[in-house]
Amino acid sequence: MTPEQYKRIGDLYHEALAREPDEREAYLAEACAGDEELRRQVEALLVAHEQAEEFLAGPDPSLLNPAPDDRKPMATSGQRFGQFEVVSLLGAGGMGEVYLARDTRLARPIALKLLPAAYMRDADRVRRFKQEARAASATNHPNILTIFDIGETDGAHYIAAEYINGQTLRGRLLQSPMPPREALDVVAQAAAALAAAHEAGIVHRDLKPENIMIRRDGYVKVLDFGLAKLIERRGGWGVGSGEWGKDAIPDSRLPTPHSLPPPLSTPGMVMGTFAYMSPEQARGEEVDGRSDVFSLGTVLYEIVTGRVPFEGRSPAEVMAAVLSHEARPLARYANDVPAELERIVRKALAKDREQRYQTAKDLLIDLKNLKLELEVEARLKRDAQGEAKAGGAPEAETQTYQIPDVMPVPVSLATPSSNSPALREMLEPVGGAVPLDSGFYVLRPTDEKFQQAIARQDSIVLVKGARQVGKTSLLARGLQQAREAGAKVVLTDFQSLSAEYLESIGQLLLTLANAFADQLDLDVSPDEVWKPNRSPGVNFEQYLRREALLKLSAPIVWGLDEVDRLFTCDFGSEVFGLFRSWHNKRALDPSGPWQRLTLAIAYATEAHLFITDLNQSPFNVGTRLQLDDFTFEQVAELNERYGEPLKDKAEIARYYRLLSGHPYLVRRGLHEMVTNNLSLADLEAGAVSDEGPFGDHLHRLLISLNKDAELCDVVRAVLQGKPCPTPESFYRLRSAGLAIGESTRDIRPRCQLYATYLERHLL
Amino acid sequence: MAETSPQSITQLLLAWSNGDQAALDQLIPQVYQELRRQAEFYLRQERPGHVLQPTALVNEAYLRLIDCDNIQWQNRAQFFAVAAQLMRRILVDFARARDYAKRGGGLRQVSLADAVIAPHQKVADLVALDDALNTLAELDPRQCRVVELRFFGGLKLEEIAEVLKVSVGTVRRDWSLAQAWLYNELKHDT
Repeated sequence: MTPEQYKRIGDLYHEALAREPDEREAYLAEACAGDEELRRQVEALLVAHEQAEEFLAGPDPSLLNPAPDDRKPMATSGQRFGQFEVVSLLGAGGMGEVYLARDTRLARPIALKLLPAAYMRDADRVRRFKQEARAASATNHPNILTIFDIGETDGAHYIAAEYINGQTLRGRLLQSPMPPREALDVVAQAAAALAAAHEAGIVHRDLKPENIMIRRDGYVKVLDFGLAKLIERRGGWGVGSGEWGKDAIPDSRLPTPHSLPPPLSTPGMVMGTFAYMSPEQARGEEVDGRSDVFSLGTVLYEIVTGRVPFEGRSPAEVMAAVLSHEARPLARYANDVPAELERIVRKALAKDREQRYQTAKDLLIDLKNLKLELEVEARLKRDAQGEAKAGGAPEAETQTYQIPDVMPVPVSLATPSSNSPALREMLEPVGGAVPLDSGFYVLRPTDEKFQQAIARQDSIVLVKGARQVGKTSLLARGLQQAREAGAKVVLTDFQSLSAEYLESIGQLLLTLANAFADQLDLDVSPDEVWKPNRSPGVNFEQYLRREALLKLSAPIVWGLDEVDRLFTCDFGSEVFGLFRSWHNKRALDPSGPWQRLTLAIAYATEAHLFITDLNQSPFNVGTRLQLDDFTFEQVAELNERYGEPLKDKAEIARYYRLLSGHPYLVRRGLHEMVTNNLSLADLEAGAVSDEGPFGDHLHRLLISLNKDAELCDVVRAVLQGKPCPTPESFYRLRSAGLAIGESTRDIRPRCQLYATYLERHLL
Repeated sequence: MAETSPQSITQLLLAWSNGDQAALDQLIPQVYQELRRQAEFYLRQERPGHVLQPTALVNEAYLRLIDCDNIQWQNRAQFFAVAAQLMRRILVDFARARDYAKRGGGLRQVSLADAVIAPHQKVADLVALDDALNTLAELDPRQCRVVELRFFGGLKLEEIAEVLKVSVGTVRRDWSLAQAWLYNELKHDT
């Protein structure tokens, strides 16, 4: 069949359908005019039309092949509960099913939990449950799941809550063991949630790995406050409620709502919920916050050792163990357990609640302190390694950083308080690169683009931006990623090269070759093969190709930082020309050795201040990444990590107006507020003074500006609200990070701080 | 690798909507990865009743990947258009792997796929559907797209009209004919 034939058939099909069924035959007979094959085909389609109905229409759950022992999902895709529309099932467990749903009013994803009707019959209990669930959510604590609505539609009870993109602690534990620092972080965040709930008079009663969720960014959320109220019985039969996550295990270990009390499970299995209950719960006594402390202790124990402290083959045995067995030391099942951790767990698991941590807050403090201790220890160890390397034998890899398993969200920040001494201890000096394991690094879209470019092994990746916008930090993270992916990494910081190496291109390239030899531990040193009768460029290129690229099979990533220093060298363009030629060689020989070399080049655009000929752009090849200022949201995020020295949205907005998103200034200011206990008003008052926190930065800016009388005039004009006189001056101002805007007319100082300072000194 | 943020995917989608083809190149792998991950997750579920619903997966990917506050429904339709195509590829890949395993070819565990892969009982054979769609694409590419968008992407007729820049009536006619034609094609196969 040809498209033309198909079209003809289609036209006749539609025409026929438009007619009454009894007229179709006559119509076709006439329209086909004796072409029997055509008529047969159209008729076949008309028959199919009747039979096919909606055979391709979206999935109809009733037709989905049900397995024989299927427990039907309580809701189907598209079903509405109040303003919430079900999208898909996320998980199911003893306490109902959880769906990803859409809030049709606010067009946002939410998690919708449907509760089994069996639990909703006792109106008094339902009331108490709702009250507690709402009260917990109302604490607005970042580690407590936010509940939007608890409602009922056609007898179906639902809870609409914040949708967490992440997994439950149970799911996380099933993947791989958790390193101690991460474990402490997770448990401390959970403890913070408990502390807030307890203060509001709410006891969780059913804490376990299934209802602790870890968001992808490391934030921990405790779920299901109040739910235990619905289902508790005398004797403390806590029932599983861990199904908010995708990885919830549909598990016979968990008692099911259909069969309370739970069936005796297969010998050898741990009884889910019973394993986390406190002795007083097992005895059926009234419980208080200290019961949650005990449960959290068992969770911590399980994270560290991979097993719960109290085991048994039946609920009765588990309860007996909870009541009377002492938990075995952590060290029995795990290596390198700090003594302090052993003590913390023992205290949390004390049978007598009078002997336990009396509040979740006390537990939290000990957890935080231990985490800090471990961090400091790790840092000291790393520094010691660094020193040993500096003075000792050369090593193939010159830098080894310890990257934490998760993006660091320091424990101390889980309960944000800029006054917390733990936070202060974690503060690091602002300026220069943000350490790899810093809790204060804000991920931006450029991070990902940079890593993608490195992963693709692009020939040249350019990272540019104004001074102090985060280029070196970005470079460091990208290189670390490359290292982890198996690449060999060389790093050259042009700022650290002493002036003598920048006197001639010969001197510079030999220095760079030596850096390669040292950092990659190459067998042949440049001196052995450097030929005086060849140009330095050829010497360097041959050395790189023969001794590095051809001898190492791994890809090489060469990070070049602060490259703007080369702009002022006479031979700068020659060096860039060399880089460009390698890029071209790759294109010409796709299987050649240059394929394995990636140059990651970071440079400050401020150097453009001094480049008068703007056509003399240093690079015109490669992947370019422009690092920009923080957005408002990113400033808010950083404020959170600093323990919220800016008290509310209004203050963040004020701060953002003052500094826009200038990354260095934003960090500098937050750091200043936390270390010196300043209010925003204090900071604003001293902002433009030379002695203030921004003084050095502003002063430096003025000095470099004063070197260029012409540019000074342009700045004056802009400060007075006039347009830039020329496109060149506009471009230079913007590249210098002094101003922002889209055109010569639409240009303004980069931030209020700059405007005020420059007005004071230039006008 | 940094987490793909809803902001970045949303920006790519908007850039593509504004005519930036390079943005589409970046968007596709990320959407594919998410859909594939979801689909595999469903296939791994050992719980009966977890059924692979292509349109639910696409919806879920949308909510996960897109920052819903900053997007209009036209952009939403465009996302679904991309996702529908990818979903088709993923499902057909799974189905092929299953068939391969059935013939004793592979070590891959796909027995579960047997139970859950068919999005609709009447379309038992996704591989045959895929072949038929390829044939249809040669006869009338737009009809093929309509089926893809509706069947794999779960788009409504109005949304399909928006994506394909044709009237709703045209979409309805395309859908009717394509469905009848595919029905016959698949009937012949079995």
